Amino acid sequence: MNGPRSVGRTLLTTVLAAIVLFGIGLGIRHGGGTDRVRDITTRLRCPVCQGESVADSPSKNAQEIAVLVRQQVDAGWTTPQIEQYFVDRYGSFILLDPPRSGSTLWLWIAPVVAVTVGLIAVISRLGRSRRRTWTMSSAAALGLSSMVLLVILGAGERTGRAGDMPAAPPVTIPGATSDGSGRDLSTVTETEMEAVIAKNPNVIGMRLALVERYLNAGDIDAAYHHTSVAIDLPASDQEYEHALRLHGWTTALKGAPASGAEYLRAALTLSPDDRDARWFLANVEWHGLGNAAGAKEQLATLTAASVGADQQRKIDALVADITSGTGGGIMTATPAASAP
Amino acid sequence: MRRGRLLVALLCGAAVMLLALAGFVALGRRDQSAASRLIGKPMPTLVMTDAESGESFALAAPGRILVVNFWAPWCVPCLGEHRMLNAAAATLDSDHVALVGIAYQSDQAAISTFLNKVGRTVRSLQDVDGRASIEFGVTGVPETFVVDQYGIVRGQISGPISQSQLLDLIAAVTNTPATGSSANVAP
Repeated sequence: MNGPRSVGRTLLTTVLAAIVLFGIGLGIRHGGGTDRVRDITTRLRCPVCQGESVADSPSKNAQEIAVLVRQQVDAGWTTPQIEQYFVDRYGSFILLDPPRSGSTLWLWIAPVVAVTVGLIAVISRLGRSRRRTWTMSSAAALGLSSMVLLVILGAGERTGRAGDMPAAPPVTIPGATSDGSGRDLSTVTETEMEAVIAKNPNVIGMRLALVERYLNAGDIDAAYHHTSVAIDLPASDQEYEHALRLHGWTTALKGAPASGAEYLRAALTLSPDDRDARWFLANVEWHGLGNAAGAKEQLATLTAASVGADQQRKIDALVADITSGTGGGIMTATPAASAP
Repeated sequence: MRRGRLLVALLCGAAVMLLALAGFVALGRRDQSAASRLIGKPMPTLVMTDAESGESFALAAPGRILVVNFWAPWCVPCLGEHRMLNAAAATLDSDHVALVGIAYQSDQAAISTFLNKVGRTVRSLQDVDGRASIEFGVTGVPETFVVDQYGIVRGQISGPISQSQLLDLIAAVTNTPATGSSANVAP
């Protein structure tokens, strides 16, 4: 059954398959296309995009990378040199295809193994014949030569493994925040405050005090108008942080919780122990974004800051809401008047 | 015979699932290592321009600790962070630590508007052609690198850095002995 002709055919098939696959592999490896820049940028990931290649992304960053690749090609760099340049800076993350080496070699071999095993399984169901033996031998040879080729191609590649990120220390700065305005405005009406601000547009302390009044009265539009102005005014660090906090909160109340959360995080970057900003952020995370984990993280930080009994009750009430799923994704102005 | 085939099929299925699992594990590790390639390597050396005056500025190892912060006028977290960096720069010993901001994908008007809001204690450079962000492997703003006095990148923080993180990194770099590394070569 397995005569000399059958063995000869099997050998011939194996050699031909290996030659064809080796040629394809070389083409892939050395970018045999007419436009090498297009070829390389198609395989580079746009670092600031979501799973898009540099070639396909319209972002400015992708365009800048494409310009640099063009310069490197013109300067005579080989494709592996250019890829290595980007891997050295961004890690193997920058390559859309995983490297054919190290732990990612399995990603390339697995489909070959699966197809080969599948072919053999299908053929084994055919009746006994010379043709079946010949086809099975061919499938096995093809699979084996493909795997050998992948290993050979991968041998020249780097592993592309980056070092670990340094561990971030906990963010805790002692001290308390204050409003910074130093004014007693309790006896002044909103109308009077508006008149003063109209005459002195750069007086940020009074503007922020007015925002808090509007927030407590539920007039979100008026509050938002003033916070939008306040974040562009000359201010001390404390005033600026206060403006960021109030603008973040009012932005969230105006229906843009993701943007509001960013302003609140900016305020916390400037002053990590600002309990009001953290309380607002916890509320925005839960009521605005429905992010239970994010809200709990902020509340845990607040609790760790040893707040008073009344304040802890408010925190506990929000934790209970989150645990029971109450009010997730529903933004209300209520917490503004009761920040711990 | 049928039982044998069933066993073979099950074994094949298990093998494929194991391979898939190995793939997921490998990909997961790869994504986690997407940052910090420059750690332990020399910082890129670049000639840049001051974001407002247009003067040339050599971004190179200055013989003191260098903090390089990438920011952009449209980046909201950069607002608070840059204020903090300006405040920190005013208190740090300038003979020991230098802070430099690099404006990422920004035009001069937007840079000036941003600096009017947050202050100018930290020197701001403009990444005109995006080369600095590519050389540092920046994937978004804000992103901060800490370089030791020998020009080796020692720390990297993606996202806004807090004052305590900044001071801790500077302290860690101050107390770390120098080690050699391969050079970065740009075309």
